[in-house]
Amino acid sequence: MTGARLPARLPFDVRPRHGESVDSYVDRLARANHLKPADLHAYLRPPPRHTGRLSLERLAAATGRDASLLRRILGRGRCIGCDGHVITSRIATPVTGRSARWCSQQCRETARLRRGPDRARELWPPVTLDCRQCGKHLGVGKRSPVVLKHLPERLLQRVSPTRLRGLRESTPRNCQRAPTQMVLNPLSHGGLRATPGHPTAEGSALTAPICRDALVGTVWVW
Amino acid sequence: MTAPHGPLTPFADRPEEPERHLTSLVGWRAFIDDQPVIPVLLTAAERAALSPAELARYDENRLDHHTRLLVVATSTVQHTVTCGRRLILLNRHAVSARRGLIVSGPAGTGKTTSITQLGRAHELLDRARHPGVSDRIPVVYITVPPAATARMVAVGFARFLGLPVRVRSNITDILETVCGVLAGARVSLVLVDELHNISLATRSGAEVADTLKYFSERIPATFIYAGISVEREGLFNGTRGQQIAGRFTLIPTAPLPYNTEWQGLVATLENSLRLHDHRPGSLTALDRYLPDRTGGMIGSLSHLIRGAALDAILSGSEKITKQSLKAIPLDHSSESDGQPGR
Repeated sequence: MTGARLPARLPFDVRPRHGESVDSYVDRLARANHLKPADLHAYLRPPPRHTGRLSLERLAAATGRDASLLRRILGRGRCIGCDGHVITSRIATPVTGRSARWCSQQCRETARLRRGPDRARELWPPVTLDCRQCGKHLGVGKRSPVVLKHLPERLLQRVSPTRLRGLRESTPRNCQRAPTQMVLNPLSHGGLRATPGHPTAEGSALTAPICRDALVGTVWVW
Repeated sequence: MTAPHGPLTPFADRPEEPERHLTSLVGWRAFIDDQPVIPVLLTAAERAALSPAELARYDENRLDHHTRLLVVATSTVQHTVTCGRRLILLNRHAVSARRGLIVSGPAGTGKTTSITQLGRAHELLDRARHPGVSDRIPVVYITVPPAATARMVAVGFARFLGLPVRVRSNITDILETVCGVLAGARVSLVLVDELHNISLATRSGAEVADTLKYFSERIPATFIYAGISVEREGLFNGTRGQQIAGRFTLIPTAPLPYNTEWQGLVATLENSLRLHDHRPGSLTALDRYLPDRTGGMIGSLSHLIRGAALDAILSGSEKITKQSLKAIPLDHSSESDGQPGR
């Protein structure tokens, strides 16, 4: 067999799902044809050594489908929101009925807000920022959705709409990192959604410059 | 069925397809779907009116027509197709010990043609019964390679189906994959050609026979074997041979004797010729020359007539005579059995 020859078409074909990863599709294809998935993966890699990345042209020849169509349908194992590596499991979006992959809940929330900017403006209207220490005007801040994961249990117990100031007071005084003010999402219950295993707080984060003089003692959440 | 087409239809070159042979699913389906067109023979006036380019294309179409092997429904072909169809029906509900067919005889007597025509008829019938279903593979055709081992036969099945086989795959994996796919694809007829490459006297040959037996147990299909004089090569000897002899019907093939069937065969081949100056009946009038020259071998007869027709187009004589037939060298078997140069 020559190395440039494309593989023959497999007896049974399966339909690729939109947003499905190539690996998942090849696995289903192997099972339909009574093959070991590892063998089919190796077979679809470029000859003669059958190593490296899976060849979409060989996959197209083995399935009898158009390579450009497969490239468009099958995901690349990356987040469809930010094109970052997918680290979470697949999340189904019932609105469109398809399976999409997101790198994080935050990315998914961002994409949702991008689809509805009016909703975001309603939830988090722009705020005028003044330095709380000296009263100096810092400009108008634009909020973006944020999900803080793996917060310390000690902070979670203290974070609430009514006790936000207490959280501010608990931060170290000598922190030099960019300060972030956290405004909790009014739609989520009490502004918090946390489980014992994965403490998570949802809300909107606002990053703004702060006057140099007021750094000490005014860093809230980072 | 063949259909005539216009004389000036551009000659369609076949694409270079390396997999275009019967032992692959693509090639087998191309064989099933193949419907050659018969060029229309122009009158002398029409032919004279053609431009040089059109004349070259017209001649090329006629050359292509004569290079094709015309399949004639001889008694052997008809008997094989009839017996095969009957066995397929008898085996339809059998769960084990299915019966099969062995077509055996000398080379060039139409064994492969017979079983492939049986497969073609069965596949076309299956397509008619299940229209619009594309994942059915009703017929599988493989050949037993020389010095065959059990693994090579299993790989032959996998190659036909287009399944990947890794070098390190063991025979168990291949058998499981092949049997799973064949059962899922509703295979009902398995054609195994070149069976004479199996020798039950050797260990590998016995393993090949056992593998074929295993396939026949796992796959709900009728098995048809074809090989050169397999009954004389010891296929029915020993314990395995007795089992094969007890389940398989033998259809012997032989050189066609000179009788009305032979004359009908020559007449059919002559009618398919597309030569301008050939007088109909001149080949059938050659009486005993053709059977003596070819030894009654259908393959040799087809080769002789088609070769003479190609020479007639290329040389411009446009007719087949006894002299032009004598100029065509035949296979060694026919030349040694007959009397060359007659």
